[in-house]
Amino acid sequence: MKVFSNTETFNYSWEEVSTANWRKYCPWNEKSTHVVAVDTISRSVDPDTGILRTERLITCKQTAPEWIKKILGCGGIDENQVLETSYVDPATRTVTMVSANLTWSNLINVQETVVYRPLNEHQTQFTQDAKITALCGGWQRIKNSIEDNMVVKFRENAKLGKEGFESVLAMSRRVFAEEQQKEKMGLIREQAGNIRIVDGAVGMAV
Amino acid sequence: MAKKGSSPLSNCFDSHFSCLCIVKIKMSQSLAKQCNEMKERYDTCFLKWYSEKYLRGSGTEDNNECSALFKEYSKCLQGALKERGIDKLLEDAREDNKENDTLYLGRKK
Repeated sequence: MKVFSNTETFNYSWEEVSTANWRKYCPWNEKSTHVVAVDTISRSVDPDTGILRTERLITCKQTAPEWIKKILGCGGIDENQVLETSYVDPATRTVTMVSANLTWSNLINVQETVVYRPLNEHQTQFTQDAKITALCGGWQRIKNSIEDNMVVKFRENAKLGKEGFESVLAMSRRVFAEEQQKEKMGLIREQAGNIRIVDGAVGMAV
Repeated sequence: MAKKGSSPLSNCFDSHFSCLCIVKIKMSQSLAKQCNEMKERYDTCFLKWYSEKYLRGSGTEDNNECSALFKEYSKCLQGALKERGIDKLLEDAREDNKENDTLYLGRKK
């Protein structure tokens, strides 16, 4: 088994991060083009704790090197799937996401845990832990190579993942500000309308 | 820098309808193309619910304004998952994830 760990800080509030997290793999994120689809499989709120539990199926383009595909005997598969189970606890302001590979799960086991916690009102900490275990029988050397290869991939993706999510966060903040502006303008217009009505009513009374 | 045309978004920026595109494609795609519209409707509803109600301490009910949309999307998706044999894989993965449920949902043992 090999382990990959990483910690990052985002200069956005936990509320912003946890909201944008649902859009992490949208087209705003140009760094995550390997993710081709994200589907919500189930979603529920725990009545006792208020924790929101979500299962998402993440479909990725196959990016394993040819030699690994050959060893694993699955060269024909061009997509793989990951099940991400997430828990949002609004009481402790924590998002925990546990992901496991569905494809090739009898050959290799990848378990990733990501946690978003507030550092303060304007910053959120991201911690990532991945455990990689090659299960296929055979030489330890091959297993080690497969695991090492995954760790390298995790390291590469971690950098891209941060950059990509940063652009989603920036875009989300912009859109949110625009929406708020629109709402504000609408409210002002509405109030202006009310004043006219009041004026009219006063006029009527007189 | 991403290569020109390497993502739907950069394609959109090349078109005359860039603003429209951002609004239209801000959600990720569904695995099953036929479910895309239903997914988009549900995702939009959920995001609004999450940011405006859930994070503000209301809307803790499972049965909310998005449930009907979720049912519709889910029904579409279930067929596609079965067709691809993903439903079986999901069952196994759920079984393996039970420990995490206990850990993170804080259920009493």
